[in-house]
Formats: sequence, structure tokens, C-alpha cells
Amino acid sequence: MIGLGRRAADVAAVPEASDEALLVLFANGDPSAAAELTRRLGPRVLGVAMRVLGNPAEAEDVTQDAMIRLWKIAPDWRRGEAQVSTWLYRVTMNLCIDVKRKARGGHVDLDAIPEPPDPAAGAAEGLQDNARRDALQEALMTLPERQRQAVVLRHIEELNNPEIAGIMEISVEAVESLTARGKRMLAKALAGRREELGYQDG
Amino acid sequence: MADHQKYQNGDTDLDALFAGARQARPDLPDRLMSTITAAAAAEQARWSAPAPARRRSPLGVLLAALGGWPAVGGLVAASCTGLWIGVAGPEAVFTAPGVSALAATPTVSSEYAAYETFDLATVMAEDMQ
Repeated sequence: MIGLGRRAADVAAVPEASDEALLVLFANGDPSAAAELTRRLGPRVLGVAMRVLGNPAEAEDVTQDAMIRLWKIAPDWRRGEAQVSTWLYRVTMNLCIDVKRKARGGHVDLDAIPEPPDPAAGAAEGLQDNARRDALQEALMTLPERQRQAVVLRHIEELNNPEIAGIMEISVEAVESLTARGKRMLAKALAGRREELGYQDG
Repeated sequence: MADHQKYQNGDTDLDALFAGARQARPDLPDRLMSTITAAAAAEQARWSAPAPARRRSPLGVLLAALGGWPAVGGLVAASCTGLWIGVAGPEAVFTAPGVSALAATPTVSSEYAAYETFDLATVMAEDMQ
């Protein structure tokens, strides 16, 4: 068990405490550290999961699962080895892949298979009304799984390439390649959608 | 949504869409927040709860009193041997292959013993004369 020697009241006294310090406090039994960690990290996990899965209900399940895994790992957390957020993003991405895998009957080729084209229902099926109109989300759903993850982490979460490489457990070069190809495909998908919908310039 | 006007400029438009997505990050629904923090509290309670006392069955108590499974193994072997001797009688013990070999080894041969006896008698007879 790791120990920091701080008491529960210190959470309020040190609002800028690192995620790791909060996790240590949580592991030491602090009752308020979990709420603070959830406030900080929960929305980020949910946001990424929503963008990667395109489905709020699934994204909420993944968020819950990821946070519970964080609570469970807390007593064994090795300080200084990884950032809490990096660990959590990695767990989230893997859970998202599991969701997709289950939906496809146990198999998903991460690099080769884009989302199945389903123009009738659209990729935004099941999304809330505001998300239903989200052109970016629709375009994201046309990308292969790993490209979508890399693009979301890079351009929406604004993480740097080495951190994304750590999350996705690939090289920095592979991240650069995935994000570059992903962006090209996105631009193409958005342009195609524009023509499909009959928009005119000007 | 007037996104269509932005698409024509490639990267710039895409960057604008990304910026929009960053602004539109979802909030954590209260229900989800409650579920996650409740799970955290449950996990903490699990750590702080004393480890449940191990209840031993009567057999477990007996096993511990005897000194564990190796001791029980020895006890069973000894008991079986005793039962076998009781049922088969003492002859069986001496005629058992292992036992007879064991009995034969350290004993001097009967011929040698007879010679020794004879020898001793001769010596004694000579002394008497």
C-alpha cells in the first residue's frame, strides 16, 4: 500500500493536487478524493468514449467501467511510472475496442475495417439530438478504429504524440501516420457529405 | 448547422470542427457521477473491512490438531499396518517378503552358530580335563 501521509482535509486545502496525489489519497481511504478525481477525469473519459464510440449509452458504460478500474488499481498504483490520465485513456480505449468487438461478434480488425456504411441509419443513430447533427462525428465514424482513436486523442483531446503513443501502445511514428491518414479521410468524408447533401459554394 | 461552408477549405475547416468539438465536451451526468463515486466508496470499504475470519470445519480442526496432512498420512499408514497384523496374525509378519529379508540379514547363519556352540563346548570340555 502506498502512503502519502496526508489527511483527508488536505484535498480541499490543495486544490491543485496532482491526479496521482489524489489517487494515493483515495487509496489511503480519503473519502473526497474519488469525487475530485471523477470531476477531473470523468468528463474527459466520457468525451473520448463518445467520440470513439458515437453512442452515449455505450460511452457512459465505458466511463463507469474505466473509473471503477481506476478505483481497483489504486492500492497497487506505482507512483511515477505513468500519468493517471494516460493510464485511464488507455483503459478507455481498450474498453471501446471491446465494445466494438462484442458488437461485431468477437472480431475487429483495428486497422483495416472502417465502420460499416449504413447511410440509412447513419453513424449518429442513437445519439442525442445535438450530436445527431454533428457532422464531425458522422465523419469520424467512417474511420477505422485506430485512426479514429488517434485523431480524437490528437485533435479533440489535444494530447501530444508521445502521450498518444503511450496510450495506444504504438510508436510515435505510428501515431503520426494514423493521425495524418485519419485527417485526410475525415476531410474527404466531410467533402463527400457536403456534395451528397447538395450544398453549394458561397 | 452551417458546417457545409467550412468543408471546402480542407484542414482549416477541419480544425474549426475540432475546435467546436472541444467546446462541446459532455458533462458527466449526475447519475453517472453518483454511480462512480458510490463504487469508489464501496471499494474503499472493501479495503478497510477486516479480513473475514476463516471458519474451520470439524475436520479442519482435527487435521490441524494432528499436525496437517503429512502427519495424517503417517497415521493412516501405521493404522493400516496394525490392522493387517491383527487380521493376518504374527506369522504373516515374518513371512512377508520385506520382513523376512530384514530378519535374515543381520542374523548369523545357523551353521556358524552351531559350530560356535560346538566350539565353546569343546573348549569347556578341554578345560574340564
